[in-house]
Amino acid sequence: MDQLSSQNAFSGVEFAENPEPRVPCVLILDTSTSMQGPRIDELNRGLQTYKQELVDDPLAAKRVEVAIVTFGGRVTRLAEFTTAPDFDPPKLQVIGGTPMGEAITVALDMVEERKASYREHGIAYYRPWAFLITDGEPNDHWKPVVGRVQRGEEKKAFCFFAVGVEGANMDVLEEICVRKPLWLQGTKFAEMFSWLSNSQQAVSRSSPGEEVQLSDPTSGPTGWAQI
Amino acid sequence: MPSPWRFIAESRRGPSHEAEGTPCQDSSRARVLGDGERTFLVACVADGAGSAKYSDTGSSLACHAVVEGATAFHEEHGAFVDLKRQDVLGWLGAAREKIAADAEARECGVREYATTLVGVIAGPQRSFFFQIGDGAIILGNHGVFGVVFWPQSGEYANSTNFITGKGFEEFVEFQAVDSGFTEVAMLTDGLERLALEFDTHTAFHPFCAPLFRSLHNTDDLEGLAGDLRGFLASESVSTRSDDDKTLILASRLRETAAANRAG
Repeated sequence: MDQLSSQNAFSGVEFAENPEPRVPCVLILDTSTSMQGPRIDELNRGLQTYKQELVDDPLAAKRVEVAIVTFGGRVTRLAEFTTAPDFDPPKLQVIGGTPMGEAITVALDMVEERKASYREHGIAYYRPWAFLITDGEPNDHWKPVVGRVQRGEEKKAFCFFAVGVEGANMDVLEEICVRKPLWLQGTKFAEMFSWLSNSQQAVSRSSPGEEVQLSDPTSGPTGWAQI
Repeated sequence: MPSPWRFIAESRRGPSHEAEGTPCQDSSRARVLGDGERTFLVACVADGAGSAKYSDTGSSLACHAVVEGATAFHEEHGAFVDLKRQDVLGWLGAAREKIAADAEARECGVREYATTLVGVIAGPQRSFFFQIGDGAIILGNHGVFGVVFWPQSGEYANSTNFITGKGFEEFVEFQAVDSGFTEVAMLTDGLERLALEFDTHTAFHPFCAPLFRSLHNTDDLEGLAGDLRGFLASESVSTRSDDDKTLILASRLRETAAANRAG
């Protein structure tokens, strides 16, 4: 089936075809010029891994939905929420500065819109994920998003994670993020997306009353992060 | 005169519980009380929370307490005509006491016993239904099906209400109806997406109709229970949900059929 935008009159079709509960995840990706070279290549490869691992799990393939917002020069809603089989990993190109604040706002708006759409169509859903990856610091007005992220975490409206690639301003990430931001080891994007997929597979299988414990991303052979 | 009610009840562990060797956290219990014109089916299913350590015990204690509570009520009153929501809350309170005692012995919190509870008392002219948490009761009369309470869920798919929760009373739904029913199905969360239509909030007819037809027509209840076990274990059902799955199917023989069988 072709991708349908949420504005489309047929937007309900995807829910009629697949009434499974959803685990929405928006990726907020830094595509500013500092990501040039192996970084963006590995990030692109990581997105392929992410799709493949989700598709390989029959339940996650129906339940986990991915969306992408990029910030490089300007903020782009690059992919609307869709399940893995319909997710076409983009080949990200780098350009311009780092409007991270606006990107976070856009991503959290998308999460709210998606939740409203689930409710409208009677689709059950799990707590959404927002996953920020950057190797720099915002060059826009980012302070207002701090309150929004904190309120959202408090109300359990979403889980917000931040990952810094070498060069990232961790002080800013720590200010935005309620959870401890993590450093990516080198360019281990594939390992990171593998972890993300595994965690979301566990969430998508979880039953009422079950809090999913995420595996520690900083240790073991599959570790990709450091504190 | 034989009982006008016949029922089968089966639970199946979810695939990952099976792989990990953890017990099935669902429980069910059913009993027929009284006889002749005044026969009642008492049945319940309970779904222990996935993250709670002893929720298999919790769901079992809850079902036990409700069926014993109903039996005691029936012995005292000879019928269920005057059953009130308060009586059901009393049975659930007894379940909570049992759970609290067990938790004390194991030195853990009652949240480790978190469980839902779905209950039915079905008589010839009057029936009662109650529920806290997810799961569902599907009722049928001569091939028309309906859902009593829609499964309770918080904002997120993995949140619901449990009898072990604070202020649980406010989440207990209770309904008394001046009617009998020929078919009753009760199920836990793991079967919701097969048995219910989520867009219209109705029972899924193609799921219910064939199962009840088999139950009405069979002369071999044990064989049918085996078929139900096979159905719950089948790949098409088990891959629909990773959760434990429980189904009670009950049907009341129509008077003429019952008379024929008796004769």
